Amino acid sequence: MILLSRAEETVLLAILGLGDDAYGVSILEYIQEKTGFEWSLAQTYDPLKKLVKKGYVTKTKGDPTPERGGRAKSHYRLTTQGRQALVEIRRVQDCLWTAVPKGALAR
Amino acid sequence: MTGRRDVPHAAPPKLGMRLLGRLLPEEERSETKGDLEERFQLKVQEGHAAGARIWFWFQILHLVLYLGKDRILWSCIMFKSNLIIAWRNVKKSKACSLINIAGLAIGLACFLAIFLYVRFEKSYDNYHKEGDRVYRVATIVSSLNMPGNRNRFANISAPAAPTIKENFPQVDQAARFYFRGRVLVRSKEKTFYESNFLYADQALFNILTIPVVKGNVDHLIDRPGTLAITEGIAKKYFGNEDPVGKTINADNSDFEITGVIKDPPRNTHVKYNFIASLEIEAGAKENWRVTNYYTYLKVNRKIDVKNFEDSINSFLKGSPGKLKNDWTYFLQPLRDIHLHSDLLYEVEPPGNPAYLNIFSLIGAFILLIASVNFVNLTTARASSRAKEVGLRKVIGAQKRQLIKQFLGESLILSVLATAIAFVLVSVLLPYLSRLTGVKFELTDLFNLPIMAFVLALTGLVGLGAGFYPALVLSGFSPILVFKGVLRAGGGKAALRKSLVVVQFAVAVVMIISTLLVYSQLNFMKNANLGFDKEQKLVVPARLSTNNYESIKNEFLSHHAVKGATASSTYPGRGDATWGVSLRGKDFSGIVFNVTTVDYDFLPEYQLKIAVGEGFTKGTSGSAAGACLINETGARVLGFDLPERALGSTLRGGGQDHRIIGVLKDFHYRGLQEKIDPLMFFLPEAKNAYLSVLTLTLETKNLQDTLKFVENKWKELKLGPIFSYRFLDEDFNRLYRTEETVAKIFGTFTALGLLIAFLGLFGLALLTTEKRTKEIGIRKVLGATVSSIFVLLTRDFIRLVAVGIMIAFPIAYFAMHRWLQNFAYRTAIGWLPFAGAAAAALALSLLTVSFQALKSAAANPADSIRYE
Repeated sequence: MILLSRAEETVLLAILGLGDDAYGVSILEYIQEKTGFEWSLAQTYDPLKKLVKKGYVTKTKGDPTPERGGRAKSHYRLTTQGRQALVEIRRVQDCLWTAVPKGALAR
Repeated sequence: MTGRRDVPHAAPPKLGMRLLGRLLPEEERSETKGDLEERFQLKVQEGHAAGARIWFWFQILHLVLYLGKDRILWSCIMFKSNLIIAWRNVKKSKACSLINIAGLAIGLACFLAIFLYVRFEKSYDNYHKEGDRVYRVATIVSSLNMPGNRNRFANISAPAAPTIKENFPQVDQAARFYFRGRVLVRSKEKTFYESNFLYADQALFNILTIPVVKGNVDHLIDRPGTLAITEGIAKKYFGNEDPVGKTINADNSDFEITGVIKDPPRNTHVKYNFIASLEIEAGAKENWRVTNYYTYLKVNRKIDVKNFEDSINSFLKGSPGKLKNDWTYFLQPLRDIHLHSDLLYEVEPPGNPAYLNIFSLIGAFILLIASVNFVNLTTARASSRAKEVGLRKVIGAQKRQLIKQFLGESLILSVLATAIAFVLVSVLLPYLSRLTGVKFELTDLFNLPIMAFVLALTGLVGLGAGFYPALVLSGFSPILVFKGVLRAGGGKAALRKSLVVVQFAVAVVMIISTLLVYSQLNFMKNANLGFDKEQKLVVPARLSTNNYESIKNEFLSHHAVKGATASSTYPGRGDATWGVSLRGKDFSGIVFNVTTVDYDFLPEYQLKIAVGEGFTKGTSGSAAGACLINETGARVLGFDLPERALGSTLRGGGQDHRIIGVLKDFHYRGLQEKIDPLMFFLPEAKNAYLSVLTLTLETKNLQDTLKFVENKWKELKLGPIFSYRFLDEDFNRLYRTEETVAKIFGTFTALGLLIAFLGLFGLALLTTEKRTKEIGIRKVLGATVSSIFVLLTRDFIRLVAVGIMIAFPIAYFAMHRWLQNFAYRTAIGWLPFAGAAAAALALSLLTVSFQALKSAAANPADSIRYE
């Protein structure tokens, strides 16, 4: 079973959702938009670094833009392993959720 | 996501960006900065400039925390491990560690104690609101040609304050007070002699900060006959009752109490118990001749003191009848009065800045000695840790890390020592108070500035003393260590040796100084003063000139009272002074100390006449208008031989005085001061009073005699409260400052020595331990116990001897300078030097020989098996 921390899982999903346009700020904004939680940059970098290390994500240098003070973006893209990981995580989650008896949460 | 609205670019705070640039690893730098800037831009464009900044700094903080997470975690782990290692090292050589910590603790405690005292002395009058704008006006009398500050007076004329305030717009407030050191105060039930009684202008409350507890600050003493008392006095006379509105009697006049003020703090030169309204008689209001008033000004802007002094002087001298031509006023900043003003008639004896410097130096010396111990013992023990260092290096420790580790260890030790020092000082605080005469409380020690200072000091000592050992320890080469080359000695001992020399040089200087301070003190106490101060009882008494002879006879009726004499003052007590001039010569005012004495004064005090005659009852020479002067007086008046002074007439105090005799000089003041001109005369007016009765007593059954004197005194109603003192004790009180200095010197020298010998002991312990095997082999080869003893002690004694050699000239010059403070001084003999040298050598021999004998006498079979 593939074990990821919630932070890593969240970031991984955000990259998946963003497709080709995943980089630091966009990931941050995506998470905020979809979940309502505002993360700090440090909070996204930490899981990103770990994901790169584990091989779920690749990091490539992009083009510099003026609003970044002329600095290049780092684009993140899912690898095949990353996709597989997400699939597996989802499967495990689904299985577990369906096994929960109805109304157990409500108690 | 490009192509956002075209709004001017807002750059995020530069400082934060630069900080990030420093902290982040290079590969992440541009990405992080870029993301930060982009997001920041967006926030600004959305119109939250302030919010964007807060967000920005929050991001930085978060990034730094995430970045440092691992490092912090690891340094905690390493810290814990290093702590354990340090503790094991402390335990491994208990004696050494104990000496190290105890020495440092004692050193720090001494330093702290001295720091407390010096800080207190320097804090005088620092609490007054806007005190930097307050000045005291004082006078120089240029026609008085006196050495030192003896022509400068702290108090001035009554009209000066109002005149200056009226004519100089830069003066906001001006106030005077008249100070009484001893006043008889009576309430309904209680009567005491009280000190520190001020008669002052209301404006004094606007110049000095005197917190008022009860009463109206603005109208406390502005009516005649009103008085403010301190809380302490209120409690003493009225208990828990409200004193305001009550009446109290001081010096036979009634005062209405209009307010209660806080007791004066310890650090003010004007100590007050009572502040009464100042009333100056109409006739005296324009009297510029009488100078009884301490005068303070508060200016309303920054002034050029020199200019202001000049304009005051030229203004006051410009109009006739004001400031005399040879008088010049000068201003003293309020805060300088305690330490930097030593004038005649100060309100309170001033502090001595030179002594503060000396004490600071002693404190620094002791700390130095303790730090040297630390350095020496740590480096001497370095070899025992060589293997540890070697192993750490093999595993991959960098030199920097090792230095950090060892510095950390010395910091921990110094923190420990500081904690002990704090405990020591707080326990010994009462002793410090007794030693210095300043009442210290725990709050003086446990307050923020002191704590901060001590913390800084701890760091400084820990790092300073730990630096060299850390360098030595971390410098070991692992290869040499494991080959076993680096075992004995621990490298060069040159630094260690020179540090021991420095240590003992300092210690010996301190011993010699202490001995010389005590010898000067003894010299002053036992010097032949030129009069008899033994077995004299001095009793303040109100003796009318009409009947004092019969009063004396009443006392003489007791068999133990051998003699009695009445006078206006007694030796050691202040005298009245007159400006005196010689009839027929153009001398304007030579200051004479004047004393009224009766016929028995000279024989009772055993004063010698140089030429002429003394006062004898019934002779024509001793008729009205006769006077005696001392030899110095004759010389200052311009007579090359005392004989020539006989028959001359002196004008002083509004009367003529014919010189009938010249007294041999005697020391009527402490030996710090030169003998000044002195003049004696008989009580002339009827219905006048003499204030001192001196009785010569037999020492047998002293208690009974004292009882008799007291009863007789009360029976004759010679005053409201009976008090007495013994002349010799009272006179020796003049040397209280020197006594304090001697005690402080003695105490701290002893402590400094203790630390130095502790260090020597530790060093001897370590070096003999290291030579255990050598000694065993020497013994096997036939060395005797005594030859080994010599071998082991020789090195140390040599170092101490060099230290002594260095100390001699330093001590000589330092003490020579110190002795210049005294007009009459002891010679610097060889005895203190020889004594100090002998003491240092003997004590160090004793310290070292304990170890040396032990290892010299050890069984060689055990010694060789060592290690």
